[in-house]
Amino acid sequence: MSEIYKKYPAIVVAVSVLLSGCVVQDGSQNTAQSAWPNTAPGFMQERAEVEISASVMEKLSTLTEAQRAFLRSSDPLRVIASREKLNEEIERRDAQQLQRYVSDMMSAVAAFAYQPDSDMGVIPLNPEATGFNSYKILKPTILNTRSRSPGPFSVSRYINQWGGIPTFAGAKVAITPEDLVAGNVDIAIAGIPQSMSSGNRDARNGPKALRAMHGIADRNVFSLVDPHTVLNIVDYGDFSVDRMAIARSVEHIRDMIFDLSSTGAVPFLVGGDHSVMYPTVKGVRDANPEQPLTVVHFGAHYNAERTRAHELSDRDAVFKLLQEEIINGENLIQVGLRGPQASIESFQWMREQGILYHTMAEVELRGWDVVMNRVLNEAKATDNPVYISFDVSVMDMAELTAAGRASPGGLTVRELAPLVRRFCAETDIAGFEIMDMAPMLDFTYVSALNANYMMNACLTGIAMRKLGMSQENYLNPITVDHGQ
Amino acid sequence: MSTRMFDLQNLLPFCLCIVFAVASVSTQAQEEEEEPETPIEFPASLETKLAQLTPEQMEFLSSPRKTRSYARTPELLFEALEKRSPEEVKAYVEAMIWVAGQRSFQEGRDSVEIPLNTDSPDFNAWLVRRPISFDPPREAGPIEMGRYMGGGGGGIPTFAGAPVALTPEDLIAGEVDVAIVGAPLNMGSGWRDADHGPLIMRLQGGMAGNDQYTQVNASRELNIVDYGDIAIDQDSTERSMQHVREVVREIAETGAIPFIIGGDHSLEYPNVAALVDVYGQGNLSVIHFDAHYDVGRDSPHYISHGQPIYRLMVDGHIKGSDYIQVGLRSGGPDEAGYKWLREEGFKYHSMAEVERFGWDYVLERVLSEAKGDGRKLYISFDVDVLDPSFIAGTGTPVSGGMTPREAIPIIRRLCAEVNVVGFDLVEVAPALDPTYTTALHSAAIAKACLTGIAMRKLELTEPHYLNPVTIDHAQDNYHEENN
Repeated sequence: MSEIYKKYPAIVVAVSVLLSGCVVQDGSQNTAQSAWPNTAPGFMQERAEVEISASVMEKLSTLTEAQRAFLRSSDPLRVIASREKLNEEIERRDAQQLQRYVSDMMSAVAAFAYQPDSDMGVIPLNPEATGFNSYKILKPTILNTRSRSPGPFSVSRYINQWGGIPTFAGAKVAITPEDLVAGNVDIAIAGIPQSMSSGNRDARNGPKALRAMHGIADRNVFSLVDPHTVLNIVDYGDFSVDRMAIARSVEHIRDMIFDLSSTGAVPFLVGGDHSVMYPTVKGVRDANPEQPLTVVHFGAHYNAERTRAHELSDRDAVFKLLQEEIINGENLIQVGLRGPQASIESFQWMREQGILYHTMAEVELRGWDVVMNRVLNEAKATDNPVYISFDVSVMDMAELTAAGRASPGGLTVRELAPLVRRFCAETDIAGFEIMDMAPMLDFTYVSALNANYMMNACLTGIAMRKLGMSQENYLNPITVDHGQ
Repeated sequence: MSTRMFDLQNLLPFCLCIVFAVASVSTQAQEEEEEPETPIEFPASLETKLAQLTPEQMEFLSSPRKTRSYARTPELLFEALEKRSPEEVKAYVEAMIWVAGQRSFQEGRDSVEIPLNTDSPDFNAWLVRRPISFDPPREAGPIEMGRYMGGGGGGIPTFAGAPVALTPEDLIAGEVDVAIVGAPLNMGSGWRDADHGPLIMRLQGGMAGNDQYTQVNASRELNIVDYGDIAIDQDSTERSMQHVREVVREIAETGAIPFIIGGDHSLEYPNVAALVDVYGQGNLSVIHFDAHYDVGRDSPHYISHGQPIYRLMVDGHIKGSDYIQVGLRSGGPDEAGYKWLREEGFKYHSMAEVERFGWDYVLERVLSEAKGDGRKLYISFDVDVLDPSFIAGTGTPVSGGMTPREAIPIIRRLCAEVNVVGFDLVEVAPALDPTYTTALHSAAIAKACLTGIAMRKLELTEPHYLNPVTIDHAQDNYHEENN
C-alpha cells in the first residue's frame, strides 16, 4: 500500500481500539501494489497496535454507554479534524470536563440535521409575482415585429468584419432550432450565465468576456485547419437563467440543450458556474436516449459531494448525474483533480462508482504524456460519444486567473490544448462546455484568450475529424518541420 | 402560506399585527394595479380582421398596459396588425395571450418552492455554533490578540484592530459598546463578490483610531470588538435571513450597537428586523444610503438585495414612513414607483434633489428629518451611494454618486447627533477593485460613525461639532475678521 494511506488508518484504529477498551492486532497485511491500483485494498483495513493510558481508560469509564458509542462512531469526525486530535482533547480533560465536552459534541452533531419544527424545509417562492416565469419565456415567432426566413444571420456590415458586434467566434447568430436546421449548423455556441459558484462568483460574465475576445475559431497552426472553413458555426445567444436559484434554471437549460442537440448540432456551452453541468449533460443525453455518453470532466474539483442541503450546486453536479443514472461511473473520466474538496473517502467512493479519475498527483508521479494517453485510451475504449465538461480551474492560475474556484498547480495550455484537440479529432464529440470562467478576477485579457484557445482546440479537432484527420495525434507535416 | 418567510418561530405573537400590515401594504399595491386605463380604439381599416376575435381576445388587445411589451404604442400595434393577414392576426393575439399566461405562476405547472434535501446529515452544519467546552477554559470577555504592550492587533486582522468576542457573554463581560460583525452574503444582482467584504475590511484597517476632524479617538472612548462573521448559506438568501437576525439581535440585546459589514444589501432585512425585535415596533427609524431604493416589489423571490425594505414592510416590521433614503439615482424606480414611495410616507432624497438644491441644503434637511421625532436610528449604508470613482469595488455601481467629503460628515453627524442603535455597511465587492481605494473609503465611512458614537458618549452632540484646534491655526484672527 502506498505511503499516502499509511497514517490515516493508524489513527482510526488508535482511537477505535482505545474506545473499545482492548488491544487488537489485525492480521491483514499490505498487498502488493499494482501500477494502477484500481482494485487496491480498502483504506481502512490496515491495523496497528495501540497502548492506552490507564488515565484515559478511567475517564472513558465515567461516560454513559451512549456517549461511548458516539465516540466509537464516525460522528465525532464531523466536528473535529481527526481521531488523533480527538484523542488529545480527551486526554487533556478531567472527567467532569469530558462529560460536558462529549455531550456538547453530541448536541452539535444532532443540530446538524434538519429540524422540522424550526428549519425551512423548502425555499418558498412568491406565486403572486406577475413575472414569475418571465426570465424563461421564449418569444413566439408570430410576435416578431418583422418576419425573416429561418437560418443563421450575420451581424457584420462587411465581408471581412473586424470587430463590430461581439459574437462567439465572430460567428453568425442563430436564435431558434429552426435557424440551426436551416443553416445545417455543426456547432452552436451558447452562453449560460449562471453565477452561483461556491468559489468566486462572476461566471455570469463568462459568456460576455469570451464573446468580446478573439481566438475561438482562428486557424490552428498544429493542423493548419481553419474551423470556419470546415464547420458551420453559430452564436446561439445565451440561455436565460434565474440568477437567484439554480433550481429554477435547470429545467429550462436542459430543454434548450435538448432542442439544440436534437437538430444534430454540437452544443458548445460557455458557463456559468459548474452546477449547470447537470442540465447540460442531461439535455445532451436525453436528445439521444439510446446512446450512452462518456463524459470527460476537466477540473480541479470532483464535484460529487453527496450530502448537501441544496439539491444542486457546482459541488455536487457530478453526483447528481450519477445518482440519476444520466451517466454511469465507468463512463466518467476526470482530469486534473487537486482541490481540497475530495477526501480519502471521496476517492474511495469514486473507485466504487468506477469513475476513471486522474489527479495532479498522478501527473506528478507519471508525467503528463503518460496520463494524457491513458485518458484518451480510456475514452476511446468506452466507444461512446464524448461530452467534454471543461472547468477552467483545471488550468494553472498563471494562465487562467479568472477561475471561480482556482487552485494552484494546474495544467498548462501546452498540456491541455493537445489533449482537447486530440479528443475532438479522435473521438465523436457530443458536446463541449467551458465552465466557471469569472472574468472580474483577471484584469488582463489573458484568461479570456486562453479560455477561447481551449474552445479553438476542440473546434479544430472537430473540423479535423470532418476532414478525415482523425488518426492518432495528427499534426500537419508542413508545420512541424521547415523541411530545408 | 404565510408571507412572513424568515421569521423566528418564537415571534408568533406578533402575527396579528403582521397580518394587518400585510393587508394594508398589498391593498395599496392592488389599487395601483387596478388604476383604470383607456382602451385602445382601433381604426376602421382593421375592423374585418378584428371581427374574428373573441371578446376576451379583443379585451386583451385593447389594453395598452397588456400590449405594450409587444408594441410600444397603439400606432405600432396598428402597424403590426395591418401588415398581418387575418389568420396571422389571430395567431398574433393568441401568442400575446399565451405569453401573458406563461408569465405568472400557475398551479400544477410551476413550483411554488425550491426543495431542499432535508435528509442531508449536514442540513444545518453551516450554522451550528462551536460549544465553549471545545476550547480551553477562559474568562468571558473580549479576547485580546496582541502580543505587545505598544498596542496594535498583534498581526491577526480584525475589524478596527479590535479584540475578538464570540458570544453574548463576551459582550456583556466586556461592556462592549460596538460589536462589528461580518455577514458575507453574496447573492447580488450585479457583479458578485460581497462575500469578501468582511475580509477586505479586516485587512484594510483604518476603521477606528483618532479622528482628525474632532480629535476623538473611538478606539479609546469605546469598547469595540470584532464579533467574527455570521454564518451564511451562500446558496440561499432565504435560508440565511433567520440566522443573521438571531445574531444581530443577540448583539443588540446586550446593549451593544451592532455594526454589520456585508455582504449584499438583503442584509437590511434581518438587521432591521432584529433591532425591531429588541426595541419594539414603532420605535425605530431607518436611514438608507444607496443609489437604489431597494423597495422592489413583485419578484418571484421573497428576498434579494433589491427588495429588503419592501419585505420589512410586508412582514410588518417597519413602515415606509419610518424611512429616509439618500442618494437615489439608479434607473428604477419609475415615476409610478416614486409616487408609491410618497404614498407610503418615504422621505427620499435623490441625487436629482442634490443637483437642484445643493448638498449642504439636502444634508441639513436629512439631518433634521433624522433627528425629527427623537426615535432610535438605524443606518444602512450601501457603498454604491458613493461615486464609482471612489468605490469601484461594488456590485451595482451607478455613476454620479456622492463623494467621501459629502458622505463622511453626514455619517459622523448622524452618529453623534442622533441615537444610532445599529449600522451596516454593505456591498463591498473587493474583486472589482485591485487597488485599496474601495476598502479605504469604506473604512472611512465606518470610522465616521464610530467617531460619532464616541462623540455622543463624550456628549459632543451639538450640531456639526468640529475640534476648534484643528479647524484654524490661530496665528491671526482671519476667520473672525473675514466671516
